[in-house]
Amino acid sequence: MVAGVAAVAVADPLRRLGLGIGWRPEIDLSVERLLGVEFVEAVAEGIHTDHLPESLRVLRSRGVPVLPHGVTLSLGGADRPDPAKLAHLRRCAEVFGSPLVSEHVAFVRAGGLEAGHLLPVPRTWDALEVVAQNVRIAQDSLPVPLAVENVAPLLGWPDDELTDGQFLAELVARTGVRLLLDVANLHTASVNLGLDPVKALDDLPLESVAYVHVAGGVLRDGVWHDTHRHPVPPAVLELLAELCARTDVPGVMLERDGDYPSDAALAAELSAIAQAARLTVPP
Amino acid sequence: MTELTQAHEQELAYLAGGPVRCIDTAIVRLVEGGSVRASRSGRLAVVSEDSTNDVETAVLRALGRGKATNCLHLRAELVSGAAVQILVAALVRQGTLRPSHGSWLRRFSPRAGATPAGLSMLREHRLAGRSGASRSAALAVALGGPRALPDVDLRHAIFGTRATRGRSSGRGNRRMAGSAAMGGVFWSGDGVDGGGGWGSGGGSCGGGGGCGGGG
Repeated sequence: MVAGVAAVAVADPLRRLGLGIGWRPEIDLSVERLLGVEFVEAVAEGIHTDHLPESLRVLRSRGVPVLPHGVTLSLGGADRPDPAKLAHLRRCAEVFGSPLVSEHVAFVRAGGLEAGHLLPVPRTWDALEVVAQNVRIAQDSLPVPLAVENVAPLLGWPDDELTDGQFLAELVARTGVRLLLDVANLHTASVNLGLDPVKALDDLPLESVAYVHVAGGVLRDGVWHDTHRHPVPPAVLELLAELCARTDVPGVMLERDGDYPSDAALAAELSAIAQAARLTVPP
Repeated sequence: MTELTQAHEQELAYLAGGPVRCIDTAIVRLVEGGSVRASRSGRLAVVSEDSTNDVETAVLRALGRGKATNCLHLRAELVSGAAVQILVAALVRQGTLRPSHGSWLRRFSPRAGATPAGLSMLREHRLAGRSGASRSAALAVALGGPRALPDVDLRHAIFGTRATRGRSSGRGNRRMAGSAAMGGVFWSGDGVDGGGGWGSGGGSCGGGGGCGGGG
């Protein structure tokens, strides 16, 4: 399987994905063996398409969808998306036969400097137009639909003209892009910027949500850090439950990027996520 | 047969395959118990500090210090370490290892290992395994070496594919042998390529390939 280029799944990107987890090399065997995992997401920048990780080959051979997740495209930047990065995302989607590809509504570089972080975009009409153009360029380059993710803000820009939800809703309206809704990032924005996460759900076009991220973090000195290295807090699960009470989300997944707990702890977090999302997990 | 504890498991591992087998057994026990995570890259990572004997504790400490990240590192780091020496002393005291073997660091003597009592103990557990009694993965490795680990993916993740493909002279084994020799230990690379370990030429322990059981 996946010896060359798999058939790209251009079917409905809002098809049911179910329960998923972020695939990472450090937990590859664990991910393969966790019960109930129906899809995985892999960071695209960590994938060499000529030398696919054996674990992802195994998962694909079982029919588990692999979603490439980009982190360096900088769709929120003033520069146009790098054609080489787009080509890599495209290649990832092709080799995995992915139903969709995801990236962030953020910028990671400007003026020749790499931030090393997913920085929030000013929520202005001008910025919206720039992001929309970049999203259209990406969409034109990709063989499958694109979903874009709200980021975890540590800061906000002055003179915002739209709420987070309004900004994303406008982006969806202009481009038809799908949403990768990160409820942990809504929680981050709530703690760090005082933005009401429930109001964000009110503003968002929930029917465009392709899948949902759930992750843990930690509060330090009044700032929520979306570390992906801590347990998922109850507030995030409650927000997930609120979202899923409003709409049937196609997929929900756990992101964990370090300080990996035991397989049993990962399974327990997945179970809590499935319960909050009212997902029926296959045996 | 007496009830098997994790300490007994280590004793069996040593009697069946020497110090490297002890370390391999400890790794498998820790992975089996969820204290260590193995990934396909061969990297081993500590998940929790739970251990059941000195060798396992030594494995966790070596991984935690970052001095070792995989099986080969751990073997090289721990093969002549205190945890194994304590085990050797205990085996000698209980009469399952020949006293001369207490000084194996200086006087390597591959056929002077297990006493008749030690061989009997090994035979007892091997027979129990053949009779269909369930055994843990760690016990399987203790008695039979890496190739006895039934979970193939886990076996390859922990020991590498070379380590479990018959009697090759894979790079891993050479590296191990080199590391051990540098540490003053002249023990053959137990189980790494299926033929090592003491007594492999003796064929008197009831296993398929001498005391190591072909492991």
